[in-house]
Amino acid sequence: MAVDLPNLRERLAAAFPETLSSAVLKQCDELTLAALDAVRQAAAALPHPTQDWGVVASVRIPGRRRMAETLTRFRERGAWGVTPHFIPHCLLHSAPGLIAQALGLHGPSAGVGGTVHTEDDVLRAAAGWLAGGDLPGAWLVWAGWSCETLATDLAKAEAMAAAIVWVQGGPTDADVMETIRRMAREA
Amino acid sequence: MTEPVWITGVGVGTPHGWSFDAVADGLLAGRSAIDRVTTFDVSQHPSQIGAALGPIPRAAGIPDVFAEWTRLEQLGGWTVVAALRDSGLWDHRDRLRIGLVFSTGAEFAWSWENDAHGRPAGVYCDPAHDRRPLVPLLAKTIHLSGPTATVSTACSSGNYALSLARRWIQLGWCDVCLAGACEVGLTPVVLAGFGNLRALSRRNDNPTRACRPFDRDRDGFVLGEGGAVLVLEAASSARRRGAQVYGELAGVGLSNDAHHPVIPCPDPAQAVVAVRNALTVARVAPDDVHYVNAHGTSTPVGDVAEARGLREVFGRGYRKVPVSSTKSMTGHLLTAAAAVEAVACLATFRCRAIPPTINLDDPDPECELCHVPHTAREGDVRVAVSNSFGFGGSNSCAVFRAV
Repeated sequence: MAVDLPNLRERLAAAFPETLSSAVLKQCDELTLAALDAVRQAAAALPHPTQDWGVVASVRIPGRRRMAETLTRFRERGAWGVTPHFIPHCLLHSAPGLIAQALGLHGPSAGVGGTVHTEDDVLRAAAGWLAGGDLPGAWLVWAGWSCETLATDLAKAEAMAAAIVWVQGGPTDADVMETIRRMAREA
Repeated sequence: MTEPVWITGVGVGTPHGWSFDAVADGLLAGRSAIDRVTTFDVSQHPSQIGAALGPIPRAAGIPDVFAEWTRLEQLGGWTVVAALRDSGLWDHRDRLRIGLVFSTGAEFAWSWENDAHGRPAGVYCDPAHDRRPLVPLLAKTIHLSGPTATVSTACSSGNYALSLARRWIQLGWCDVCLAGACEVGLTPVVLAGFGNLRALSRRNDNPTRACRPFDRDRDGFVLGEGGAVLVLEAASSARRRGAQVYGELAGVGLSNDAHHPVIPCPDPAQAVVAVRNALTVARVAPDDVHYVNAHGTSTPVGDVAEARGLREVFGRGYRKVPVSSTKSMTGHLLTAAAAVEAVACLATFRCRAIPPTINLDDPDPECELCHVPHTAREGDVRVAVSNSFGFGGSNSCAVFRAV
């Protein structure tokens, strides 16, 4: 998806009026918004989301543009020029936290990977918690830029979300991992 | 497989020292590691204090390239190698599937800032200057062949890493799993960001007295640096090789408030769920808990919510369960807080003593608990509980049992 931020924020505010405020959405990193929108679309096809689900999200690499602005402001204005919003809203933990808030999910929610070539971390983490009984189901989410650049108008934010549950006595761990990998490749 | 998962090695670095014994000594002595920040100009920062880590030692086994690594990479390398050496597995690592679950939620933001301060002006955060990802770097350098993952849930990250590593061991996905976290967050921008968020203590004229969890005069947390990595393995494996054992990781409970990205939920219901889940998994009744290492950051809202949650978990027995916050001495290590506080729990088993909450001169009535103020207390701790909560609403609780 191309990032049209005002429209995206408006769409998400309309989709989650009870749980997300415009003030929170205004501070979110672009990739967090893209990740949440992917979950929003996928959730529409899921008949029975449950509150005890969790989120395992890999956002690759959040906060670059905002950090560049922050460093410039720090250079120009000193400590008081630093935004207090970068740390809560632009790091690896930010997307899973916002998705949990939006959907009212009370299961474990974690940011994983978050760098190049660590997309599989989502699978290893989710499978561990699902198979271990910590989660009955989870949203697996990947988001990233089509290319790493400071000029975000030259890059597209891409995101994918999948809902997954663990079935006792179902396919083997390896089968599940391979299926999800294939889904990720095809997406 | 449901056999116990034991902790057989510890690698740790905090301002209190670079070994389990040094860190335990510092905590049990009630020694504050907090001082005025001197590594950069803080004259315009709202909060000017922290628990800073000094030069990071090079662990034997890390190649010469260590000198070119960033401080975060160096600290990660130190804790991982020190943990493996402490466990006695360093020389056997090529024959084992050793996994690594490591928490470092801001590695790129940290390296971007580090890079920017070295440049006079111009383009910041240039992708051309991006560092290699930390976890793959560590796994490759140390020749780890098991699964790896980077995990971040802000200030509860360490417990999430322990939870995942414990599951991987139980599922047989690796023979041994390293789990932990590191943080070197005392930088100009991070100190300013948290300061402008009004999360930090501004008691700049008295650093060692600034962090006062559960005290009526608390005014925010203090940033700290450090990290810890634990070596986890199945009890049968540890027994077979005659390993030293620090304790059992008996259970971890995780939940999310789904409340707000920053503001702690005033209703501790989901924090209570995390603690109860951890106790259930560990098969421990609330009455059997001998010590709680609280999240206890020293913020007005967070400490009250945590105290309420603990009273709910322990019921009328809350007056008998000793609680302390070691952040009063170490500061808040953010991503690494839970990992270092796991070490504090293990220290209670080895040293038969409970670390104090220093500066707790006037306990807030809304934070009523069985506090351990000022000085360590002797105690035969068999079960210790460690709470950690984070931005994004994440809650976690780890239960450790003496072996």
